[in-house]
Amino acid sequence: MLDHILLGFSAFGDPMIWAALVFGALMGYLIGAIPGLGPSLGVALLIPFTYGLDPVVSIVGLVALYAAAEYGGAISGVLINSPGTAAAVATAWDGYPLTKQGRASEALGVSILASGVGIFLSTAFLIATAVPLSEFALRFGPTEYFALALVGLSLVAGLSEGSPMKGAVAMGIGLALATIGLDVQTGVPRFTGGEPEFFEGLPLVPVLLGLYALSEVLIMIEDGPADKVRNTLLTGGMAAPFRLVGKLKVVILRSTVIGYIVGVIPGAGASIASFISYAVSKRFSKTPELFGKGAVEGVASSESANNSAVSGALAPLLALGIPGSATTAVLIGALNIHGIQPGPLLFTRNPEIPYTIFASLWIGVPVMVLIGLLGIRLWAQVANIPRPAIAAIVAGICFVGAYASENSMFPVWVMLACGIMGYVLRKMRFPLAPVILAMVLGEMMETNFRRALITARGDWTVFFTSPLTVVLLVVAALAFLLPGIAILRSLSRRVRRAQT
Amino acid sequence: MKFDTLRRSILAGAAMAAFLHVAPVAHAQETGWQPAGPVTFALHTRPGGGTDVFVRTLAQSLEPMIGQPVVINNLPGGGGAVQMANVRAAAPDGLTLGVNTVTHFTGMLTNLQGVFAPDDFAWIALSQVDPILFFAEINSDLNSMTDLVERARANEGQVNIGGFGPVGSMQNIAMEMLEGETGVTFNWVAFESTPDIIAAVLGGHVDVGVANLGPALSFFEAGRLKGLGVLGDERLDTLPEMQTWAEQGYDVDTSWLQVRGVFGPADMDPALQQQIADAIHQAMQAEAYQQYARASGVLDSDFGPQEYTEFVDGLMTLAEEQLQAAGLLGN
Amino acid sequence: MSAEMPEPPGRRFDAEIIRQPLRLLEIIGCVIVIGVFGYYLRAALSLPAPFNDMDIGAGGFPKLVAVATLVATVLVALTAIVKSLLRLPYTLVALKRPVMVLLAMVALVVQALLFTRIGALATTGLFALLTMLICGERRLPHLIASPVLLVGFIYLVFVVAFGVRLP
Repeated sequence: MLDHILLGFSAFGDPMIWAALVFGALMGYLIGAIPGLGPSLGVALLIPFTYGLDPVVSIVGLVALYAAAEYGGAISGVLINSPGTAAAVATAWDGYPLTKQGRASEALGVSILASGVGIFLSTAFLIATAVPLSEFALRFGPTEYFALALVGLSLVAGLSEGSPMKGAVAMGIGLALATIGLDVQTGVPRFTGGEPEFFEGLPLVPVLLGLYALSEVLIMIEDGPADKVRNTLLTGGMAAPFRLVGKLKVVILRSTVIGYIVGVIPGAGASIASFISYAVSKRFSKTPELFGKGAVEGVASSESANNSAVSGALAPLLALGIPGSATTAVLIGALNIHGIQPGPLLFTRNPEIPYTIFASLWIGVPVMVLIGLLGIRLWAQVANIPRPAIAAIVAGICFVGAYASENSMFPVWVMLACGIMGYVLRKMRFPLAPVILAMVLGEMMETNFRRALITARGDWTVFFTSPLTVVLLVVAALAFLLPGIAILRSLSRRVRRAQT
Repeated sequence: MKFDTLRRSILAGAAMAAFLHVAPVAHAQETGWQPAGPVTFALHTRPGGGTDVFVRTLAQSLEPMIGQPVVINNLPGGGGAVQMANVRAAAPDGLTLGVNTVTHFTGMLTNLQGVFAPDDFAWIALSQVDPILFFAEINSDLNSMTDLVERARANEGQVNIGGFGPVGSMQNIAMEMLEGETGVTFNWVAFESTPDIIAAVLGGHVDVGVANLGPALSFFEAGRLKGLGVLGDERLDTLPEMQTWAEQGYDVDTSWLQVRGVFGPADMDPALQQQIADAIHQAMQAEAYQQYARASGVLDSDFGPQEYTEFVDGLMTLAEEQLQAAGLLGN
Repeated sequence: MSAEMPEPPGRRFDAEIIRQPLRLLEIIGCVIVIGVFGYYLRAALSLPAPFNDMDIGAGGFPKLVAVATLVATVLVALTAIVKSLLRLPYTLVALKRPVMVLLAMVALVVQALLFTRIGALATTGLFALLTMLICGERRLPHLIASPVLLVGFIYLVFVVAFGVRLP
């Protein structure tokens, strides 16, 4: 084991590996920060460039890009409330309020360090547990996936601001959007109006762009050029964010563990990881009322979770050849190009690949953190760009980003429609997070529900035969009920107060 | 070796430092095909998928041969509709080509019926054929296609088969052809990717999985999966102990294969088509391509325009019969 | 932007800002959602029945979603109606600069229409300028510099670095 890890580090004697690492981290950072270019599109766009390269060099660059992009998504979420990835939605919940209070550099500092710690620790978990945990994740069948999706949905119901009924409506909209396209089981087109463009369903990236970034542009236009709060840099130089993170170590450690475990389950991924750890942190926080209004704990838990989910998603890829996320699925393509087929034999046949990945994740952390911390000064300036210019820049990048995601106008129109819908929903005080999360989870929920019924020949008791499923269903039920109980309690309190 | 490292560093350095596209070295070998400009391959998948890897590998050896860069245009969406519309609208000058799989044909018969038809295109060359196989977890009671059929017969169809795509997809049709041959029924469970199918078989969530060899190969070698039978004329070189369906007594049409072929807009000059086909088949002989193709388990095909068009006709007839039988055709 | 406040003596109307009680917006919004989901439910009901009795079919899950969302929407609407009947204190929502927001929406649609026709970079620059004007920017140096920088950035990142083929 140790000699293999040393083998991984020995690859770093080659300056090419370093070049790939730094280049990948820089590109990923940029890709994540630009709304519309997520990690999976970023890796896909860079694959052509890895052709002439050695497989180890290219995989190091791509993994560095993946990790850095997962962090970069937080930047646009914090600064302009337009999370670059679905996994950064929870980061924006607290990050953007912090920016509005003039504390953007604080939020960014915490998010980069939480991300760095998340990757660093989860890589250690990855080395120790990749094989056994991946084998365990195979036990996730249709019923488990259905229950997991339900847990995810129940958490958003509990987290979203304002009236739970409005949250339910928003969730319904997200679920309905997820059903558009060809039905996975029967192949029947649903809600497509006969247009082939809708067959593959609504693409997530343009929906995310529209709901968040474009609706934010419209809000900025509402606000006009009037002054906004100037963002001040954190005093105390480079050491300041470290002191802040020192206070958050429990939150970060817990979120890293959650993020890694959720990341290992194929198909669950970084967004569910960040939502779950955000919810858990809120539950354990001494000041839960600050969540959603600018709690650094919220930023820290979401970011450490979505980055440790990167290591998590790599576990089934390296141990079994089964991708844990959309981005790792693209990484398989990158390895295929070099004639390497990831599978159960990867560790014995090409040990240099997994162990160099481990080493590069570790070595990549300081590189990524350094880039991130140096970037804070720059980004804090972005937060101070006059509102009209920001609106124009965000709108322009949204258009090009949406177009680039499929090389066609279809995602651009999807983004536009979602932008206007997002603006209207925000004006009526409907929460947006349930829309996007329900869309992410809706297909997973429906497909696995039906798959479970089909494999069990229509026997509904299948959902109660696996202990894992039952546990998850109970968690989901509790999470759905708790906010309801809280509402009843506050109602009865209000009634009592009215009586006295 | 030394030269190789040097070349690598130069290429990488160029890509890294200046974000430059690696320009193809243009010293043309003799081929009949002399395109006047860059050749664009329109794909129906995103970068990084199987079809994408195929074209990018092919492009490496094709570029120096034709002395022109090959541009890859990923046009996902609409189950191939976006890509087919792009190719159909292009001029038939050989500068815009598309890559197709069997999904294109089943699509033309179902969801895209009336939107696209085989006559809208010129079917230029068949490059890869990829037989499908049924497999089970290594400790499963099922050891052969016969076991599978007998279990289904004994349990009134209560055997779960996990495969790629909904009812009416390429792999589902193969299962239905087996049903037609044996008179038993199976229970189709649709998945959206081959790794998902393998994971479901390994985890015991379905009894049998369907896949092409490539993505499943390493699981066979690791002793995690076992093959029940391959739908082909001959056994696979890499898994010689797995019998074909026919050897086990199931006479199902073996031309029902996954394919990757090259097509273009209709009305393309037949002589040009032949030149393109020759160039592609020649490029497939390159060492890098051969290494990739063997690693991914696909078989090479040398069908030119005439053979490929006939092959497409046969495939369409077969697919139509099967979809008709399954009640999936609109009329 | 808004605050809990008692029933104001009279509503203020001017071109720059429209204030409406949140519950009125909610009722309008709910009517729209009910309309959309009614249509969605009809489409879901017309989906073909499942091939076998084990599956709930293509329409099963959408039907469930439609009904649940309709119920939730009706509840939201009823709450809003009850609140206004009881004359409870309400929240005001400010729709600021409504003309400009509408203009921006129109501009976005036109931008999408022109995107493939006159080219991505040209449209982006032009509409960046327009968006800034709509947003109220009047300083000439800003109006020129920002679109130019934006187009340069997009060209560098998307076209040069990633090789995206923009129209």
